[in-house]
Amino acid sequence: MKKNRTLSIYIVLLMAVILLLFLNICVGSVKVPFSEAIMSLVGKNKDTSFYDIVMLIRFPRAVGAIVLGGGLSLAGFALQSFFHNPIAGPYLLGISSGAKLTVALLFVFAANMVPSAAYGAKIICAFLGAFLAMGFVLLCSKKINNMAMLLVCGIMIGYICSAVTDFVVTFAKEADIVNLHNWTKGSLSGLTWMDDLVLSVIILVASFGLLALSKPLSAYAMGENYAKSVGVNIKRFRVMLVIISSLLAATVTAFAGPVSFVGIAVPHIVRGLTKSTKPIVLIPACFIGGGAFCLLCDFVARVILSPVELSISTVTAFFGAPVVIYILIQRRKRA
Amino acid sequence: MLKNRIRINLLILLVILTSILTGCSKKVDPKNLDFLGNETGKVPIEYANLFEITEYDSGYALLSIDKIEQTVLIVPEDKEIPKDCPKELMVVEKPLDKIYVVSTGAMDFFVKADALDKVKFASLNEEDWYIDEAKEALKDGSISYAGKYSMPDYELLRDKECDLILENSMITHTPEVLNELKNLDFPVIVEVASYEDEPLGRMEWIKLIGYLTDQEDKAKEAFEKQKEKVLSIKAASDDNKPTAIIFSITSAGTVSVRKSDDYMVKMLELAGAKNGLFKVEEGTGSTTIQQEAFYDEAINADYLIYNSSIEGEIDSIESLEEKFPLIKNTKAYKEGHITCLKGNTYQSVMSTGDLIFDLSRMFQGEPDLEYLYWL
Repeated sequence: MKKNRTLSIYIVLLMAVILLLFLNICVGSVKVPFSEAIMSLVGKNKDTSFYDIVMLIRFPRAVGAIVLGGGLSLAGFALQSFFHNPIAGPYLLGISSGAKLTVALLFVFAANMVPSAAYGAKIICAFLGAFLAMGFVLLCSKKINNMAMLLVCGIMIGYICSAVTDFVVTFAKEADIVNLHNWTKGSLSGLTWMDDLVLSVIILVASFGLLALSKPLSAYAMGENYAKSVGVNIKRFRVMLVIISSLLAATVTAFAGPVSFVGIAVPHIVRGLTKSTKPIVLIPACFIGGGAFCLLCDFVARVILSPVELSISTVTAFFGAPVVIYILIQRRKRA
Repeated sequence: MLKNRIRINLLILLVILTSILTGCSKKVDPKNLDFLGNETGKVPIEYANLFEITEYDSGYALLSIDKIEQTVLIVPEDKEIPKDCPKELMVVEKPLDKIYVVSTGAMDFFVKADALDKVKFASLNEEDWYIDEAKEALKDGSISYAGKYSMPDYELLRDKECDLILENSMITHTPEVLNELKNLDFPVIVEVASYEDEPLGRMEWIKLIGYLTDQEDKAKEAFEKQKEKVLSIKAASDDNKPTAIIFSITSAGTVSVRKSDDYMVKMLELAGAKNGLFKVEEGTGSTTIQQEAFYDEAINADYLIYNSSIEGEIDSIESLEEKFPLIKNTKAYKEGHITCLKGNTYQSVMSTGDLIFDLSRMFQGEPDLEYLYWL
């Protein structure tokens, strides 16, 4: 019975992804006739602007939305399992703040020195910042065994990074502040097939890494002592989990800027749908669900005020927060 | 639908600007302005729509700035502030020689009106100025850095007895700063020259600076020089006009373009081209649109001009390709018709006429340009 439900949920989520992918490809600020969109998808009409819009703007962006949404959702899931905390998300460990700090440094001090590589430099800086923040958390995890304290450490690192960013911004030119502000709002605009290739490789490797940790995750959910008793190397497990979740969140931040709420909202939604607590069931469902959620949010961000675009974080928070509140209330009622 | 949205946006902007600037100058009841006497005339303005200076037989003058509904009483050197002057009226007392120029675009007005010696404070450090005279003044200490618009150095301004603060519309983002300046009794004028829809109107704000600093003749002379340059451009007939788009790619990957009534769009028209964006929002200022909306129109534009004022200059066509790969498919790219505005243009407001002339030369294929460069 439960297997049937899980299978049904997988099918529904996959169908949602396919439907939303199709919607994202066919609808946008430029009216592309349905027949032209289909022709473009099958590789015809290559000389038209419709082909470029469908195949070089919308399609890579939609694929990016699926993979980045999946990655963020998994990062949230991993951290919620790790900290036994329902509101743990990729940004609680200071990952986003670290990325924001290094991107701020780039915009304020180095953008004029590396203008030709500004786009690539932004991605590299965001990665660097995210991993620096993660490195500090890992260093702390060697000294601190208590999960709650480690979570506090992550939050503190986030505060330190934000404070340094504010300090840097104090001396920045208005144009640099505007650039940083635009970046921090998050957007999937401008994703290319090459970006998709790079981010897909990283996120898929990390996702399979997380899937491989399903068993220890399952044991860990029963308590740290139980996990130890069944042979889980807790220290190594913690390091692996922090690296994987940071890698996932850092990749998203590098390519799309900080995108809020997906990491918190989607795992809750998926748990509510599947009624399962098994990581082996939840991990694929979270990935597909995150992809569908991001596709939906990006569609709204592009279409609702077209040709102006809303920031993706505005939409993810708008849709995500009420859903999580609803699920938590329902769960409380049942309990 | 689009028009409704624009109306709503304009209404919101108007409400915000008005509510913020009530802290600067509340609407003054004309009955309370009897001390002004009879109107003797207005300072002649040809193109600017957003300000006017009315003179009275009492010797006083009233400056009115539209958009923000600011009214300022200008008191001449030989007069006192009238005893029955309403408290809500902003008062500026001549002579003004300790001015804090927060609006970077306004510094060029002072330079060209030969009134830079009246400026004692600036909102940019020496290295951030493109205007040589301002750079030099910061270097030799005749102008001091007094903080940016959001963080002015109140103590320095009070200690050195700053007698006028010239802001631009950025101050509306930090109403608390405006309130604090008001509490400290600093006279504040908010210039909104960038909201003028005519480039010549934008430059004509130099007449206000000339009036405030008693350099009216110099200001008029500088304006006339630019006006003549613009009017000397002979544009092609409508059918033969090339289409051009001014744009930049934001750090979020979207495209920043100018709204259809913006002064930069008018600059293109004065230079002999047509705006290549037909589906863009009405109004002045800039807006960001999606890449596909931009691409849909940019693909057929004859010229593409990268605006470096916010996103910074582009050093090569390869850098632009990295930011926006589809640029390769545009007509302008294929014909080698892509240029970049030099970073100094947004500060050099009084060179707008020269810039328009440069644009007209660009449309004629001139290889050497002063304010732009080919990518």
